Amino acid sequence: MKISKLTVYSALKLLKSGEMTATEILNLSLEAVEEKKELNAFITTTIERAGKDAICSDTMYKDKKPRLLEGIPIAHKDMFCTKNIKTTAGSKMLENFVPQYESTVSNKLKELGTVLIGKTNQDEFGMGSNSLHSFFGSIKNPYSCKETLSPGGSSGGSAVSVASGQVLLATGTDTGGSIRQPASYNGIVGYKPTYGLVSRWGCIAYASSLDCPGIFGKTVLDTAYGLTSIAGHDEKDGTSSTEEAEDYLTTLIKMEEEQGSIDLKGYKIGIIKEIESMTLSDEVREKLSTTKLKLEKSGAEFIELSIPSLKFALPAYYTIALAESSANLARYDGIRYGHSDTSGKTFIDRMKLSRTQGFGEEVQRRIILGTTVLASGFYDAYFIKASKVRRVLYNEFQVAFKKCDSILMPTTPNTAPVIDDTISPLKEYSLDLFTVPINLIGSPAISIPAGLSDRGLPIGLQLVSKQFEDAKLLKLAYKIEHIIKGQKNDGV
Amino acid sequence: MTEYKAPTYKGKNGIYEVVIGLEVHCQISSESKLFSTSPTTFTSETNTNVNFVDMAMPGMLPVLNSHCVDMAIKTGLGFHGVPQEISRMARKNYFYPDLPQGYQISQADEPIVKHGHFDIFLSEDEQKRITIERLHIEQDAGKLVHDKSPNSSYIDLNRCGIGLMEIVTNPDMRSAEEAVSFVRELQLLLRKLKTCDGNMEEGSMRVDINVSLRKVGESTLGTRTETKNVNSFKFMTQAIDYEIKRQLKMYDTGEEIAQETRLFNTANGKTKAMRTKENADDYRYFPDPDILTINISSDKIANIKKNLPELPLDKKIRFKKLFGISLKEANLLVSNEEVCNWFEHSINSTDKLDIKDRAKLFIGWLLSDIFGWLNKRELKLCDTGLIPAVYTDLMLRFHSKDLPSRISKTILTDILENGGTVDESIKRLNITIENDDSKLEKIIDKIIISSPNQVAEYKSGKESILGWFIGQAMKETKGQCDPQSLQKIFISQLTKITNE
Repeated sequence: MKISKLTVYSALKLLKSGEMTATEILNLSLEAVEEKKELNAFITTTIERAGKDAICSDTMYKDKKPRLLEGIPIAHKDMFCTKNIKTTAGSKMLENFVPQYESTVSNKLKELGTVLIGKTNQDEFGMGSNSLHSFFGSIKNPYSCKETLSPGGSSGGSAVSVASGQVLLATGTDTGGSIRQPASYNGIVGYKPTYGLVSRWGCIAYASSLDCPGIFGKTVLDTAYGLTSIAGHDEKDGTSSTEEAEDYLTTLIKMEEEQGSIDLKGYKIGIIKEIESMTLSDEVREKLSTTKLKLEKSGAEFIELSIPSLKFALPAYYTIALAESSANLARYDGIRYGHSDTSGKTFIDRMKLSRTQGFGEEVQRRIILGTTVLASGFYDAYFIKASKVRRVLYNEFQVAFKKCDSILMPTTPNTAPVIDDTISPLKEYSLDLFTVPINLIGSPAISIPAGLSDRGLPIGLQLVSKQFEDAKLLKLAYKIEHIIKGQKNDGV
Repeated sequence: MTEYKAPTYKGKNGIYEVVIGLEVHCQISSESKLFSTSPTTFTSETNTNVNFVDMAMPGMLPVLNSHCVDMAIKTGLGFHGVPQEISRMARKNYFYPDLPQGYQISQADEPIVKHGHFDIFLSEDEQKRITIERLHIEQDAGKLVHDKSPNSSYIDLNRCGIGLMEIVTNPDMRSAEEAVSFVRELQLLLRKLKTCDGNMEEGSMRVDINVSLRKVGESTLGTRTETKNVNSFKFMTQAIDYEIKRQLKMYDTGEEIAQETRLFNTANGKTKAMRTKENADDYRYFPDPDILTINISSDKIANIKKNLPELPLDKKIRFKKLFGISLKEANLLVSNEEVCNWFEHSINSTDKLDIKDRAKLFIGWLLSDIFGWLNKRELKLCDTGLIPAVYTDLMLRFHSKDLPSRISKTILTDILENGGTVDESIKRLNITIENDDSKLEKIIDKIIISSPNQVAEYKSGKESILGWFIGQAMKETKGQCDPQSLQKIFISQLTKITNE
């Protein structure tokens, strides 16, 4: 048995029936971690603790009181603070930072019986789309052959850890696509919940109004397990929604168990006409249209929608995200924690030295850009204008959602790019073309594998719904996943 | 009555007036900080009122304390401001070691209260309206401690994150006196509303003073300086006076006044330039994405308004009119809520005497004898055994001459110390009251008969001898009678003899 053959759903079945123990599953996971070391998916592994947790899980099964995810090997993006476990955000600044608190997301998953394998590698502070900007080295896409392919970013390590069969579930954060885009490049499912549905408490901030903790899994059903575990109001997060979290799981498990035929009769799926004229590789374009045909055959009705402001989303996103991040990263001054160079004469010198050494190039670039768009004289032209675009975009999408159940669009304009010298910041930013609009409007979105390109690389498509229609979105995604059968659940 | 006149200053090139605007930072009375659950106690040991949020640890989030929001609205309504149904927190970005987040959460162009006004007394009957631009809420910073070591500074984060209300006035004040009056009235209001304890020495209230000069008659404002963090009325006066002198000298010598931030040095009473406008930080304000827009319903505002107590200024005006007392007396009464309530309770527990006479009588003894006794012992009225109804009883019995003055004062002191009623005190002090006129007449007759020489002197027109007679009677009664009553009886008896 290989862990790559398992899903959360199937593993739980085996655990419940006693065919496998949590310790056995953990060992499979650890074998894979060892075997796939060269992918560099992890910054920290927590093997010792995992062993104890697995034994505890086995006791729970023996006592017939397993929790929802009892014994499931999981990995957390290194943005989630984990008590007594080093949390770096992929940065030298936090190279030796050991939090004394547990983030809401990781705590909920811990309380539900998951076994933490480790903390995954990522772009520093979530800033990047190719996982190249980590102090702990870049990450390799498991689909790489001769050339090294981008695993996507910033949650590259989490995506790779699931795709390469090291863990069954992983958390990530999605500020502008950082879950959906790596999910798409790695041929797995990435779920970005409605903003406010999942608490950001204890999750290191990149851009607060856009940051969304979410889940990677091999299947839609697996991500539903994850979402069910982490959703819900948290009084420690002022932006956490007070709307009651829905049941994301029961319907899906029922469909999985019944194995009945699945169709899309009665579903209205939106297609944004402006995407037609946007930068989009032929292979993705083709996958979008063949998928559309498949879904139509299954009874879905397609509605053409117009989002005229879609093309402004990328610049608006980068303006807002970088502005917020310039303030969010101000706390890393080397005084209370984190990298500190004490050789400066004044405290300002000390802060300058610590920040110059502690932050990588891309982070420094984004802090400078973010500071600039807020500076007096630029604020109205950049930040205010971007905020207006965000509002207009939101309104356009709300009109669109009245006409359909969900919108189908590409997750990324291309398949995983080759990592070479031609990667530039602007090129990197443009990979987020289709993911950032969704963060700007706060909607839930899911990237599901739609099959492979001619070159054998995964292509993901995303479904986007109205805020707080996460349950409905997951149900539709589950159906579509089964209709297109784009990717078998046996990993790479 | 002297009419108030704002001061003017003679310079070489003309006569100037001063224009003052204030920014008053008031710590909000609240158990916990503005965005965290840490306590706010002033006396706590260094760095003990601090949690992960205050330290700005990675991943920590601010959660707005709704009590602080209510306090801000209450305060705003207290100065007739307009609480905003929609307001927003904003980040003010700057680096400083006592500011762990690297930004202060404040409010920019969407403050929680806009407009408002507030009257101050210029003289007994003159009031002046000071208009208020806004009130916004923000976090306080921590403190740097420089005196622990010669080569290091230390950081105390206890104060970091405590809620502040910043009240910004328009440049309506024309003297240090007006500015101090404003802050005094504001302090009184905050204490009455219990939204800030107003303790300037603990830094719960700190004032930034904007001062500029302009020639009398001009309407445009001169270049202003802002003197930061002044924390006493005395220092306010010193800082303003210093700035007036300094700026006047600069106008005289033709130097250009720089728009700058200045620091007040409490040691020498001078202000010192801190930074000029050209070097001013660009704070890069933008809406704080961690905190949702603050929505306050009109119902809530109306409800807070409905439950406002009588405001100190209104109370002063009412007291002056109703009781016919002076501004000074009204100030003394209203500045101490406990005394004020006690007094109102006492004066309202009877309807004998005209209200103004009653007030005069009650306030006189309260402000002199009772305050004197309390101040000597550093006690408060509530520490004593004197309850308002007993004071009323004592005052009425004194007024009706049932109790002579000296005895009344002895009784008052006794009750302040030991409590109880007037009668209990009389018993305790073993006092017999000689206030029966017929009894007194007998004593007086006896004195007159045994003092023929003095009677003769009186007859010859030496009225001052009356004092001697009264003295004799006081001796005879061991002081337990009222000299005024004695005088009346003596005059009538002596007149009888004279006319015989």
